[in-house]
This record gives sequence, structure tokens and C-alpha cells, in this order.
Amino acid sequence: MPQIDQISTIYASQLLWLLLVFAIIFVVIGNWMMPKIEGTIHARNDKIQGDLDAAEKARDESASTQAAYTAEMDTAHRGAHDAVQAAKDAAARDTEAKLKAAGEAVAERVAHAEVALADARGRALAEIENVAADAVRDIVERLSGAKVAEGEALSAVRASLAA
Amino acid sequence: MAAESAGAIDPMSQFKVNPLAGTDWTLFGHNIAFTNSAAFMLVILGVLWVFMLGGMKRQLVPGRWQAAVETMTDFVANMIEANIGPKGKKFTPYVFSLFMFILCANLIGLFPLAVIPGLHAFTVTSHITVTGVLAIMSFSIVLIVGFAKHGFHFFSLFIPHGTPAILVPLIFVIELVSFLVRPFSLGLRLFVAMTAGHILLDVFASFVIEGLNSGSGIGGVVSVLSFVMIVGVSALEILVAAIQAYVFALLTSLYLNDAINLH
Repeated sequence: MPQIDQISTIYASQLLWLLLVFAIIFVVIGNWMMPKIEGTIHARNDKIQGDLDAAEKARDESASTQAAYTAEMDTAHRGAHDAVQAAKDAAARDTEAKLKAAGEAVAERVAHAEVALADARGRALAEIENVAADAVRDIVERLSGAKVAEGEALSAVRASLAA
Repeated sequence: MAAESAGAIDPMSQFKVNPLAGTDWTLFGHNIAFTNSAAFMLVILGVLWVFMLGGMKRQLVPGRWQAAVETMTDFVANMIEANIGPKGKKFTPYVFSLFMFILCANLIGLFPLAVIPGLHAFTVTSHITVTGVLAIMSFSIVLIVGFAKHGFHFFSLFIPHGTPAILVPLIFVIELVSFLVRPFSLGLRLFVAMTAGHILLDVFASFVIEGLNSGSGIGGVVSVLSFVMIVGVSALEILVAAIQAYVFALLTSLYLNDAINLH
């Protein structure tokens, strides 16, 4: 077995060259290159994690925006509904007030007209009494030739009309 | 290769360490020749570096290459996270280096380089001198971290919770022995797994050649069966290469967990 037979002649050479080569590997590859490569892996993992976090945040943001939009829409709908209701109420109240005013005006005019009517009737009645009294005096004068006094004829007509 | 000399199968020759340069180089009286083993360590370093370069593009959306590199770093980082916890983070570079070095060494050792005459893939991790150093390195880190963090309280690692007082000395000795065996089991496991796999491949490969050379009818059958066997064993060896690297890194992180978190 050369590994054991040769030990006495090769041990120093093997030790030296191995230590030399391994030292270079340890310093250059183990201590310098490997941490950099590990750093790249970490940087990549951090980037991926960051991107995932950002995506998560964006999703939350869009969800909250959606919620805000819905809430605002609801408020706007409710506001519009309220406004329409208020307008309807105002219009109804307005119409009611106008109707009331118009009704009052009509009632006043009816009352005036009634008063005027009663007046006219009174005046017409008086006129009829006078006409009747004149007619009575005329008839009496023609039939009997007697002159009836104006006042007497009027009171007789009035008594006859009242009966 | 096997069967160099007149039908003699020598599957062990593939593990021979040959100096390529500097046979007479010495450091403090020790020979430090640049061997085929050292050359393959440099190949591993180069391959690993090029592979890692693909991960340095650092794009937000990774390409295939970058994704492959990131899979490896992520794999080790998750292993540390699962076995040690957040406190183990500073050991990730070490465990990653260990895992990638062993994985590369195992896979490059399986590379069919021998189809080019004069070349032969050499598996660095099939040598106890290499796996032993790696195991001792991990074990030393465990000891240093353990004692630096917990002082002599670290010895409580050897007394599991709820041990009856009368059994404490016995349990302590057993746990201590099992603790001290760790670097040997760690280094031996990898060394044996790699060696055994390569011997198996070499032996069956030599069966293919010898079966053809024999010229007899049964020889052809042996060749075909051996070839089918090699295909299966090669697939298995790729799996073993990955699993052994994983086991080494996993056990290192488990031992580190003991040192960092005690129980």
C-alpha cells in the first residue's frame, strides 16, 4: 500500500502542499468568495421578501381604497336620497302653502261677492217697493181718481210684500 | 495502471506518489518535492476557483452556473445552520472549504484521465497523509474552540446528562476515548472509501483487459461482465465521492456543535 509504505518519504511534502493549497482555498474561496455568494443569496431573498411585502401592502391599500370608495358611494347615495326627500318635502310644503293662500283669496272674494249680492238684492227690493208704490198710486188714481200720498202708498206696499 | 508486467495485477500502483520536480527540495530537513499529489492539489484549487468564479457574477436572477455555485454554498450554510445554529456561522467558510476541497478531490480522482497515455488521475483524498491532516485540522479547531469557549468546563462534554454518580468515571473514560478516536475515524473513513473504490475499479478494469487478452470464449464473457460492473461501480463511486465529502463536512460540523454548544 503506497499510502503507508511511502509515508516516511512523502509526509512532509503532502503536509506542506496540502496546507498551502488548503490555506489558499480557505482564504480566497472560503473567506472571500463564499461570503459574497452568500451575500448575493441573502440580497435576493431580501429582495423577494421586500417585493412580497410591497405586493401585500399594495393589496391592503387597494382593499382599503375599495372600502373607502364603497363607503363614499354609500354616503353619496344616502346624501342624494336625503336631498331628493328634502326637495320633495319642500315642494309639498310650498304647494300646500300656495293652495292655502289661494283658498283664502277665493273665500274672501266669495264673501265680497255675497255682500255685494245682498246689497244689490236690498237695493232691487227697495226699487221694487218704489216702483210698486208708484204703480199703486197710479192704479188708485186711475180707478178712483183719489190721490194717494207717496208715503202712504209705500207703507201699504211694504205691508202687502211682507205678508 | 494495472497489469504493467506480464499479467501481474498491481492495483496499488495508482496510489504511488511520484516526485515531478524538486526531488532534492528540503525544508527543515524534510523533503518537500512537488509530487503528482501536489500537482493534483493545484488542479483542485484551479477547478474550484474557476467553479466559484461562476458564482461571482452576483446577478439577481442567477444563470445555471451561478445557481450551481449558490446551491453548494446554500447547502453548506444550511448544514451549519441545522447542526450548529447561528453561532456556527463563522465556521461556514472553513466547512465550505473542507467540503469543496474533498468533493473536488474525489471527483477529479474519478476523472478518466488515463485514456491519455502517460497520464493518470490521482485521488488526493485516497492518501492517509492528506485525510489525516484534514481530520487533525478539524479536530484541532474543535479542541481550540471548545477550550476557548468553555475552558475546563469543556470536559463536561464527556459526562452525558443524567449519568449516575457512580458511573461518572467509567462513562468519562468511554466518552473520552470515543472523542479521541474521532480524528482517526474521520480521516480513515475518507481514505478507506476512496482507496477501496479505486482498487475495485482498477481490478475490474484489469479483468476487462485480461479477459480480452486470454482469447478464450469465457474470457470475453468475463470482459463484458466486468465492463458492466465497472459502469455500475463508477456510478456508485461518484455517489460515494459526494457522500464522503458530505460525511466529512457533516461530522466536522457535528463535532463543532459539541464544542460550541456542549450539550
